[in-house]
Amino acid sequence: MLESVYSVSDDLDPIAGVRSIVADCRDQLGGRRAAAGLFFTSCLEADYGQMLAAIAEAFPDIELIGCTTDGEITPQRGFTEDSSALLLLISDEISFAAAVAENISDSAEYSISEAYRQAKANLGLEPTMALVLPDGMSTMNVPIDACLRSGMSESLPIFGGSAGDGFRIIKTHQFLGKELFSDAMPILLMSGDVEMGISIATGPVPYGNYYPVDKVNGNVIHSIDGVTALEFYERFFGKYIEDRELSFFPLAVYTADSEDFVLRDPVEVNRNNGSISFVGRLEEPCKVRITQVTREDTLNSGHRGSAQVLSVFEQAKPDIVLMFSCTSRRHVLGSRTDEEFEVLKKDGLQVPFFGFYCYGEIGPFVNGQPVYFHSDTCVLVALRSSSNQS
Amino acid sequence: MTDTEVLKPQLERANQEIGYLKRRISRMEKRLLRQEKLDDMNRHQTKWAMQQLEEARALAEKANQAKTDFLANMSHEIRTPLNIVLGMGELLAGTELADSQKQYLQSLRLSGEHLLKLINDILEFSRIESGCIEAIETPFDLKELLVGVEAMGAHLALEKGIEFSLEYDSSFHINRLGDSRKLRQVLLNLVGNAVKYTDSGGVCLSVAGLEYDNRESVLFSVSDTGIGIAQDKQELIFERFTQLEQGSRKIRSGVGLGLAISQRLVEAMGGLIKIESEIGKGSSFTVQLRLPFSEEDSFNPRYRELVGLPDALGPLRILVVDDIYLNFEVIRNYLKDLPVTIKYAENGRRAQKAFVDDSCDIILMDLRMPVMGGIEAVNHIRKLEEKLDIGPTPIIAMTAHAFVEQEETYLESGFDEVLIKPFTRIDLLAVLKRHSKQLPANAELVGNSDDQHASVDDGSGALAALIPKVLDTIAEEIVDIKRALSDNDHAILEKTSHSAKGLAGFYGFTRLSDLLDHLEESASRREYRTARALIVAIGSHVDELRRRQESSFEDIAN
Repeated sequence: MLESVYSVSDDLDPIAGVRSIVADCRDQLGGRRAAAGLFFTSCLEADYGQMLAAIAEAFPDIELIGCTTDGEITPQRGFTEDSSALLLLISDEISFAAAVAENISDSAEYSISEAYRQAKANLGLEPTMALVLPDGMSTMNVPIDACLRSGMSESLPIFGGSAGDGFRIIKTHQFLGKELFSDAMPILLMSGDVEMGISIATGPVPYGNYYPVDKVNGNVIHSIDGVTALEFYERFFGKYIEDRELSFFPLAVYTADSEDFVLRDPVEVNRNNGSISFVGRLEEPCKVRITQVTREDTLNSGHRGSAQVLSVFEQAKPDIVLMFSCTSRRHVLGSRTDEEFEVLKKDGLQVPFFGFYCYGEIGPFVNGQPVYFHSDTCVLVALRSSSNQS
Repeated sequence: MTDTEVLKPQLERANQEIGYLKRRISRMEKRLLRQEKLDDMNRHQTKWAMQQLEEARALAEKANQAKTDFLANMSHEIRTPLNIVLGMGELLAGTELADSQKQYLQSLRLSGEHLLKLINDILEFSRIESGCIEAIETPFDLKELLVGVEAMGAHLALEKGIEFSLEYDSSFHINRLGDSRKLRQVLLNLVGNAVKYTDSGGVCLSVAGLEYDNRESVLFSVSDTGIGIAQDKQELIFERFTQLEQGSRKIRSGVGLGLAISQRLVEAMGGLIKIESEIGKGSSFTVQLRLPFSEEDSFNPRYRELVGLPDALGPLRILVVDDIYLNFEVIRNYLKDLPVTIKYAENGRRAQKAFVDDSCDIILMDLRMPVMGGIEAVNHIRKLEEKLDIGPTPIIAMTAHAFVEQEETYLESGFDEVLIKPFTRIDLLAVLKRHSKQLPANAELVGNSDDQHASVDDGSGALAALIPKVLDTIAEEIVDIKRALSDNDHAILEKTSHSAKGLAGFYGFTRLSDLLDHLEESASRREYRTARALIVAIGSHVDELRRRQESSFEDIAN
């Protein structure tokens, strides 16, 4: 059986806020023992060390990982900013072990492999799945999905989202227990009778011609279809575009003669040479298509994704749904952000969901397939203990 | 404890709240700004996408046009050798043949004619599809048109063993204004179709004037007792390449263009075509057209089509420029009853000189001429007008090239109108009327309703007397053509075929004109093998015409 308690607070005082959610979770536990925890916060410039200490003091034995975000997602409040949220997982059948991979911008594959080895050793069992929360800034030019596949496992279901910083794009933080990191990736391994289902909702809709990418270097595109990447974007969206707004219009990237694509968000424009940096690397050779982004498409995709993940266990409800939604989705949705959770919040379902707005999403297209790094998606992961017969 | 110390925690909380609210407000502002920018970007994107769609649409249309052109070209390519086959068949039929050979030849000719009809349909439809369709309203005799359709319908019905009837009110106003050629084509299509799909019973063509606009609008109905068309197929039958089928079996021959062509022709005339049908009982196609009454003939009882003309200002001076004198003769004959003075120039340079020496009211200019062609001449004349500070003289191009694109080129070159050779007397008078304020009031646009060029002669026999000369001229041209072919000189070959074609057309030698048209086309494509075969067919045809001509003279002499 996999149970959970969670709480969220947007108290003006971040530390007071964390103390209140800790107290709330302790009350909800009612004597049960939490085995693992996820802590997300979008409080800017808060004393994260003090926040983690407050949690560790209340729950010293839990395997806790977390990160800074671009907003929290909970059933109680929907989307919140300047807030902190804590999820505690309770299960006798499922084991958890956490570790952290550091310096991932320099040596992602090695450090991920080491962290995985360490977490596995702590777990003492073969892991069933893994949740990862990499730095969303320093990993922009890191083939994080390839490193996860090679550093951890090709076949292990891996999912998660990358840490944010309130869309300031300056620095993100990652948490492991009481420790605070940057340029790191906490890992939470799970083992035991737990099942996973996944759906990936994509809002932007590719359209029009396929354009060849002439020159790409990692996550930086220099030239598309004979013009600089900036000129290419200006062709569609006009001049005077700014980096932040540009990021809401990802490119659909096609690497083979296939209709499958990955989305890549532009994040920084080099106006000296017209190149654009994207969140995530691009494989060569590739072609791209421009995408159309509307609130309706974004919401509809979220609703479809939610409905899909709620039905992955056929008649049985998931014990919990973890949600990793791209920050650009909430910026596109604006005042309608909360509508993204409508399907999950439907009366009678009572499925807890918990997550955050992130700078990149991680998960396989289909459970059992290799993991990929995504942009502009909402990755929904349903977890259910196999022993739960309800 | 001081008041400040007491209030300190509250002040800190208040500051926190103010900071929090400031942040929230700032975020809201940013969110609004971001949404505005997103809207701008989306609008730009939409605009760009629309532009792309428009370009894609234009490209698709171009591609469709290319396909239509290809179809037309291919059909044309097929038509040329087919015409040779039919021509040879015709010649063969005039020779001594055994009965079985006659039978084989008859089958060959029937199949060939059927194939030619299909190809002509495709060509016609291609022409319509590419927008080369315009209704040309002229006065016509509706009764005569109906009688012609009846003759064809009755013949077809007789062959199939069914009945054909024409019904119309005898008090019906017969002099109408409209595009009689298109109307005839539509009615022939509908009647032909009705006979094709009727195995027993009959076909009836009925005509009635509609009361609501004083019977100027006419309803033509072609009803049959044929197989009928299912309700769900009735709209589809006007689509091109659609034919009635039973299951997967096509039940009649053809390519399914007749009704598509008819519909487009009716629409071009501003009319409506409808169908009512019931499976097993038959179909009724109705065409509603507005055909205004035209004025009665008051001049010559032989001619019935009349058009009013502006008041007289004086005699009309016309300059005809054509390298073939016999063409000039036709024009002169057409205008001989009218108070006009006609001058002749054999090429563009001579025309220039004639224009300077003695001004004229209208110039009729051939396009392909030695020394100086029509386009060059019109350029010079336009410049001269500018230099002399005189108003533009209407210059009418005369050409056997009937393609719309070419017409546009000629108009852009400075011509005021294009007259397609061979033209009828009524065509010529209509053009003169359009471009002259000086045509005398007693001049009437008179034409023969059957529109046969050679018979437009007023009966004095002036043109008929020229026919031997015309045939001699064409025979001489054939000698030149043969020489050009042996020299592989496609330019001379093309030019000579072109001029001979115009001449033949003018004198009503339709088949000869068609053969020369194909020869010109073959020359332009440098298809010498086809050209060689065509020259043989043309030579034989001219010989045959000369023989007939001689024997008719002998008959008259005897």
